[in-house]
Amino acid sequence: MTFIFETLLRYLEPFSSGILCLAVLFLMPLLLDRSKPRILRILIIPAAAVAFWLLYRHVAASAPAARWLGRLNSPLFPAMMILVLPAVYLSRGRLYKLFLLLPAAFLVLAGLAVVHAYRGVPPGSGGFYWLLIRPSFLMAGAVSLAVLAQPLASLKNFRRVVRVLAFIVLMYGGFMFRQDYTDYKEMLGRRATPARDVMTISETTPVVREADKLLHLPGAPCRFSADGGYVQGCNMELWQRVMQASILKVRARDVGETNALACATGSVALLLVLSFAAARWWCGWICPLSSMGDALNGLRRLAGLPHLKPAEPVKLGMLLSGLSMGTLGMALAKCYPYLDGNGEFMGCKIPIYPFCKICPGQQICPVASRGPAGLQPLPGWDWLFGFFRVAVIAMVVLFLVSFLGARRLWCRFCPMGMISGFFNRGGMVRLRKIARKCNHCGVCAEVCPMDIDTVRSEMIDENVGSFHCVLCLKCVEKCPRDGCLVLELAGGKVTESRFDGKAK
Amino acid sequence: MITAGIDIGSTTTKAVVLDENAIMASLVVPSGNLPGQTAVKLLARVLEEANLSESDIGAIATTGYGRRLVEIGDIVMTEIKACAAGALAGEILGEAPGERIHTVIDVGGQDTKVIALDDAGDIEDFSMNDKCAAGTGRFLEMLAVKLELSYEQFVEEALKSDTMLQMNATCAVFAESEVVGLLARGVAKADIAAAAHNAIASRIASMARRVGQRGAYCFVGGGARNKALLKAIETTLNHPVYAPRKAQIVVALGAAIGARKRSGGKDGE
Amino acid sequence: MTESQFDERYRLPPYRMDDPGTRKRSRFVADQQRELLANLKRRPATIAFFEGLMDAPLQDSSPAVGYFCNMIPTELVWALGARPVRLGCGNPALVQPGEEALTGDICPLAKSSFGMFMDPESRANKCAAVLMPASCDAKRKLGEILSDYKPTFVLNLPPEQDAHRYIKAATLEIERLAGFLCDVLGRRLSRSRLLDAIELSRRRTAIVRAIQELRARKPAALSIRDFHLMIQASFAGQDPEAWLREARRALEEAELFEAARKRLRPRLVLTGAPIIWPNFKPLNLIEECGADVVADTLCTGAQSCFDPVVYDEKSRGALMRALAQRYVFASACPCFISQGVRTSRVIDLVEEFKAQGVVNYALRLCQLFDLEAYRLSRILKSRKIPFANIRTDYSLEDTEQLRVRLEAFLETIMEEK
Repeated sequence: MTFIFETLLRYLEPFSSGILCLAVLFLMPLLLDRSKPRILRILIIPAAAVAFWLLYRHVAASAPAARWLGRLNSPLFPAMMILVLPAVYLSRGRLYKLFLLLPAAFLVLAGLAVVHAYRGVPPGSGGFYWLLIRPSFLMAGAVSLAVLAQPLASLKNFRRVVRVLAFIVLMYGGFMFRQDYTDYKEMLGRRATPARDVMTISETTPVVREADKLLHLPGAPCRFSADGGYVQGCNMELWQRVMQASILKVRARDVGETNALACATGSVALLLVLSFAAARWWCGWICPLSSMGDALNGLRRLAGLPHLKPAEPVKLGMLLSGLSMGTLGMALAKCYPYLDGNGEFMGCKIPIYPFCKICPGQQICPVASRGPAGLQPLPGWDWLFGFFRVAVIAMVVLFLVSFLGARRLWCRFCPMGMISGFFNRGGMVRLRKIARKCNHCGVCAEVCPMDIDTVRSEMIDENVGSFHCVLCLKCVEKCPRDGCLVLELAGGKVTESRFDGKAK
Repeated sequence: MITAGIDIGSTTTKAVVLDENAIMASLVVPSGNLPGQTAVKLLARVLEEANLSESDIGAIATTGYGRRLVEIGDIVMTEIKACAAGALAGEILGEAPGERIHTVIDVGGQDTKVIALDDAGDIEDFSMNDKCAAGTGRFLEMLAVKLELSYEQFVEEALKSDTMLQMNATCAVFAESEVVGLLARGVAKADIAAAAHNAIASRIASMARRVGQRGAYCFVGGGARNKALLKAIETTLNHPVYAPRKAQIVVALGAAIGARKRSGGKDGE
Repeated sequence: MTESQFDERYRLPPYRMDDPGTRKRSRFVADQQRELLANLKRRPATIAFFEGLMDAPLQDSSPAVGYFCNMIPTELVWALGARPVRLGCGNPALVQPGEEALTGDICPLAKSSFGMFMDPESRANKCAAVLMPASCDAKRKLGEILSDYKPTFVLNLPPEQDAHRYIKAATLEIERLAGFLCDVLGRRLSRSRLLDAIELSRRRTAIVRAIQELRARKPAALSIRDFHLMIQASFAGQDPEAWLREARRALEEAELFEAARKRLRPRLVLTGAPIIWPNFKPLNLIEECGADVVADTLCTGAQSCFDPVVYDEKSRGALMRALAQRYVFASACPCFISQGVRTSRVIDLVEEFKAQGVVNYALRLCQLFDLEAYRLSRILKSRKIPFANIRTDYSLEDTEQLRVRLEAFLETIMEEK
């Protein structure tokens, strides 16, 4: 039985490739275009899958290629595709709503399986429950549920649900979704005694038994959250890891170094591709730092206090300081290969993840995921002559002030979001304004948490995306003119402004 | 098909009976107090003149201010449309200027219109002087009376003068007092008459400019028979203006053409 | 206590003239318009309710606050427990007294509104205060003139509809207006009542939008004249819930209507100056000449109720800002430096409702509308949208000339079909 199962899995392996998932992502405009003949839309997926399968088998015939390609595989991808794709073909009627039962059922089963597993089942016992316990299925279920429920809820509520779910998964995911109990205990053991002030990569890497698989998502939250589950660090950590690679070692064909660099580079590529597809959507919908910040902001709103509207120089200043902090962090990370035994470079004590050391996330995320027990000690005065200590205090204060007083001023500073900001105007996601429908009221500029004025003032260019836009879609939600602001994904309309508050 | 067009104006009522490309009969009568009745009687008379009975007529169109006062019309159209159609009917009128007509000026008893046509002969824009009598035939009639001349003498006098003098009064009623003043100053009757015509011409010129003046110009309506007015307009527009001999019935003719077009008859298409 | 905007040293006693002749004439005009509408083939069953609102006496249960234009946030008045009554007068009979007192060379709306104040029994004199936006020169000066009659507040508007540049100033003006109202009415402004008033306006907006959209699909279901009558009835300061109820009934009735034959009348977008009951002359003309107005940008028509007040935060400052955004910056009035807002609206309506032409109603002696017509006609011409300008005043004498003009315009459109 197991033998058949394993053979089947081996043959199906190409379908678990992330590349196939990306190919389907690029076919999405065709699939979403309901004016195209239905038969074409239905057949294109199996046709693409078969073509891909053949290509993959051909390329994977060589062992190193197979190993590299294997790194990008995960059952998460086909699970998501199976759950989400069929919905693309359905109209939003009763059948569609029935369809929601499928991912809901998956989630329930996965949840039951997790509960079952935590009862201390000894490892390696195999069996059907392994399939269900896969966190990839859980995440796939959650994501598909969210995607499918999207047309049915109001934009505001939908976004709230997504943010809360994302927060839970990212901050507490590891606790709930560890593969099995032994895994979890092992991870706790590793984190109890960090080698230095800052945890190293192995201390937080989720280990999956079969092979070294690393799953990275862009802009993920801090690795310092007590257990970030299978989401490995944020993209600043990714850049730092790229910086940390020692060119000399790579030239010397050091296997470990080359692997690490290859991983990191692969992740960068994936990051760029996903940023192209989703622009700065992460910032507005997933980032747990912003969710926590917006919760703080909510306190201000409850108190009925007005918010500060930052002047243009302040906004520019935040952008430039964020860029400089990020650059400084990267520059210091470059010192990693040259650190001596004491962790010093040219007499200065430099941490291996310098950006992380000043980032407020490193202070806030552990508290969010473990409560007061997660409070980290501040970096000592000896790190770069006290720069880090002062900087991290300043960053935390800046974080609190900008979220408490000024909605999302922090996001103008945050270097994590900047890489996807570039795709706000050129990527697959587009915010479009039909200017002749605009009534010039300026509500869009008023509600924008990033204080962007372009959406209000631009009357000629239909593309009103901005580098700073976090795609929170508050402007689309509030605009009182039907069809004035439209959010498009690769040319297909996702949502548009509509009177009476339901921007669907 | 034989069609008839009736232009029921406030001063005069005109009727035209049209057959293919020739006018079979046409008549102009004063409208009187009851223009509706006048129109009915006029139709009967013009049919008599053409030796036809009403059943021979394929379609009757009414136009002009009183177009809705009668029920004899099969279709009703504005005098704007009828005027444009009539002005372009060079072959039927038996004469036409060399170039395409782009502006039609219609000076009637109580209103003045300027219509701008495009290259295809469709109405592009038009301007009407409908608030005030100044700039209409009534204006000249009143001034003729004030100068103690008959209308024909008034026109003759105006032709004698080359003056660029223009009457100032914007109101036809006040113009009367202005005439008294000018006479007292010793200005010749010919000059006053010419000045009155200049005033109208200048009004028309500004209306023409508003709709984008373009030659060739066609001058129709009762006012077109006034040679002095024609001369004054030509001078002000600095362009020759063509006035057909049958200027007064052009609108009625246009109505008849419109009736034929609407009932599907041949229009030389 | 809010400072007076006017110089108190030069207060004058209000000049009033009790003239039964004028009153008779103005009633006659209103009756004529009513009779004209009574002959319409299809009217909603509830139309009598709306006609009644136009003449309903202002009950003394709560004070009435008169206002002009579309740019006064009436939610403030409702929130303070008073009734906002729109005072712009549309009766030609009242033009003459106003003209005699002021001057003939100003717009008929200003003259007749002043004529209304001269009549001691008119609604204007039953108001506790008058709110006047400084939208045009006539209104700006009329503010001080009317301050001799009733406590008046002139709301200053920014010269440009640039929310980024002028939102602070506009919000301050609204705050000032709120302060004036609180002083005059002797009450405090509560945020929850303001939110309730905003919600009532939002419901009205929903109904007006639904009716406009319905009329664009089935113009025969409801005459533009009845539609505007309904909208103007909501400005009469009577029970808003009753209006919402009856309007919804009219909407439902119109939705059930099915035309027997295809509608061949040309579809027009109407833009321009206010057309105020009972002077519905331009609307009468358009419908009598055989065309349908499928959408309009009039501040006395659908445009007046088209946009809701949109707010995000509920603090007082945020709500005042939201009022400024809706009432000042989303207005399509020509009193602002750029006519971009109004032009966009006209073009958008033509494209959305597939209209065949635009009729601009320019009130004679209004420089703003006259001068806007110049560019509007050329902009529409460059986009191949047929355009006609009807320039007239309140008097009924030029009806025939206008009829010819409109008919000729419609003939051109029909030929292009």
